[in-house]
Amino acid sequence: MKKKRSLYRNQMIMGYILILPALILFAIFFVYSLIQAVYYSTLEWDGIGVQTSVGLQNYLNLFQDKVFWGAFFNNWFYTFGLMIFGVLPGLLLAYMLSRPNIRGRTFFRSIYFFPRIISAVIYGAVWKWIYDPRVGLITKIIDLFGDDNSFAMLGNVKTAMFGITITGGWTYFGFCMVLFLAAFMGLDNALEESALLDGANRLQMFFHVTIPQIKPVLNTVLVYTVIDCFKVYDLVLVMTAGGPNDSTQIMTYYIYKQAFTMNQFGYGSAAAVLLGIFMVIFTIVYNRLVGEEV
Amino acid sequence: MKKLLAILMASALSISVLSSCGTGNDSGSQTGENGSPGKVTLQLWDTFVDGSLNSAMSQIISAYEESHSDVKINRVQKELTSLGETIKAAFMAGDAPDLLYYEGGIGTVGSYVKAGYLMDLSEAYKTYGWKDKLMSACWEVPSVGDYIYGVGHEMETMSLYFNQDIFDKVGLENPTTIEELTDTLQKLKDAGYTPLANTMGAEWSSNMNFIGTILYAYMSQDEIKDCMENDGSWDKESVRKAIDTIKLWIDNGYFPDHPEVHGDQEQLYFSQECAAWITGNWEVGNITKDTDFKTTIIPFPGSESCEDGGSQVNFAGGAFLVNAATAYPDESLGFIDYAVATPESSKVWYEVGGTVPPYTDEYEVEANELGEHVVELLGDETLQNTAGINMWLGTNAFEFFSFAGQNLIVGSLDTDSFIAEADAALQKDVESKMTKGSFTFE
Repeated sequence: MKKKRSLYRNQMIMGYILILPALILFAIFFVYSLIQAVYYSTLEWDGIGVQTSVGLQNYLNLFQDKVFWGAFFNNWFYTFGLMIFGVLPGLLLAYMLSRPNIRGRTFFRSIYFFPRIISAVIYGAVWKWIYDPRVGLITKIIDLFGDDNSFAMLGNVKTAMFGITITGGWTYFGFCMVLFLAAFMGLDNALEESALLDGANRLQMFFHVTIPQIKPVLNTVLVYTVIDCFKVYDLVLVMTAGGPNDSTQIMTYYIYKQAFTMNQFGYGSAAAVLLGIFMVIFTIVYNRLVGEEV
Repeated sequence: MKKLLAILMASALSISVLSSCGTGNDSGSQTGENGSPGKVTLQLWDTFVDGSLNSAMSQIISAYEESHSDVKINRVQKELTSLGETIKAAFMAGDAPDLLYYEGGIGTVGSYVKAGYLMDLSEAYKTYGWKDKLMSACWEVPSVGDYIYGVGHEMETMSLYFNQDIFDKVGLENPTTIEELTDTLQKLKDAGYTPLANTMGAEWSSNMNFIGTILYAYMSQDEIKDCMENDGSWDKESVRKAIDTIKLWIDNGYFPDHPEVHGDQEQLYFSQECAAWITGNWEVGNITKDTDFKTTIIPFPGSESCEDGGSQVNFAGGAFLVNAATAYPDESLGFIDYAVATPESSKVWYEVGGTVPPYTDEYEVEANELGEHVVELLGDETLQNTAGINMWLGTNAFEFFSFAGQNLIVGSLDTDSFIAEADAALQKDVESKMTKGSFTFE
């Protein structure tokens, strides 16, 4: 009995030793940075000169900053857009590809996943060209139907964010499809067969039999999508740089701009801390909701 | 064609006297290292990542190292944005290079000057006689009061470029005022051409250069000085007229379709789709190389309403800056002297780099007709050559003007809101003491 306890203690110590390097790195690169960001957020500081403590003033200013809230709204717009143009098509495609009689599944999976492995700088530039009101593909297609009035998707304050969202969806749906396909392929067909015998149609089967079985994957994808959408940066930088008139401003780009372009490190840090708090709140609320359902 | 260019432009690019300020405190760390006994290695960061300017810089460094066997230049090239991001950390960590080639405007490097990271070169200007050998923009832009923190380089000027073949076909004369230019643009449009190749998408330079050029056509030297040096309000009749003109040009369709989305201005002009282009001499090389029509370059015409006839927008593309904490100040300054104030390097900058160096004494270069003309424009004392707005603006004002053109096009700004927002941005810069008029050292 004593020997068993000693073995357990040794294993425990070894476990701690093994996770220690990762813990130290985590503490240095995450915890320390986080504490530093919170500290910076209470300063008026250009990132190089004298630091002046301003307490919570940066946060109070942020709450009155229309561009900041516009960016926050745009991030949610982008998130919901990606649910529609990324997650939903990914789910449907995965379902179709998971059907037993589908051939060339690997080929389709590779093709659809391809946009995900391209740098945002590249596909952002490509889509910028596609949207170009003079020579872009979309303009040319519209011209085929005799419309001579070219339309600048990215030059219009009302449509620019929508244009970026479609681009984001295009690169995201393949990633979702791969995750959902893996989930669908692991399902037990017996449930579907019994539902079929009980008289369920395809739609009922999809919503009441298939989807509940992949709910853990679906939840993971949804949480990941929200987090991913709040981290989007390079796509906006390449396509619009936040314009026109801040209509495509998003949180990460706004934070970067405040800290590095406008030399307002304190203010930028405060925005970053608020973004972190939003994400933590979202994750807690979402996990609670999902947990309650389960 | 071998030309001997008599480039005597010491009094050109007059930008008036700058105001106030004290001295900075030296801080930072020693960065130079001895590569071998008795040999000094200077660390240099620059933004000539590729292309002709990169080749020119490499040649100049090689030539300098050959003639100065005791000095080695350890060069690191960085994209402008990347340099801006990393230099801050480098200064704070005491690991900044001895020499830096970066933007010299106060909006970009003002915080480094304020914190005492950049060396005061006032004495060096006297020692090396730079004020007698270089264009005045070299020190008038990178300076606050008597504190000169850089040596400007890559002289650029905004002008009106137009396709002479199209102008001849339509029967147009060179416009001598901006009012005449408006008539000319209308005639070009009536003749079926897109008059201007300029676009103003989400690219700061397209917005800033264009708006700055139009502003200077209307603003007198006194008004420019008031706004740029003394934190004066933008609410001026001349500014209103300039913005109204831009709005008129937008409304009349003188720009390519959808200029609010970044377009390829070169392609628009080179393909002869557009007849005229308000741009700078950095395009001369490409125009010479890539077009088979005749381009005429004229000073940008001022307004009839401007009491002194308007001014020309000039830039120093960048500036050599010295780390205040360098262990090798003499060697650093010696290299700058060689790189910008000698006939040998000027020849390389012009012929290999395709840029106009600030050196004002005589030197021999191979120059084509357009290039030679640009040098003449830069040296023409009658033109009121004046540093462009991006050379003066503080951080917030710079940000505003970076998107102002696009916002005018999409209708997010009108003349009143333009002036109100420009003044609001100026006010923020004044509060942070990051303008020429309000600057103070920490």
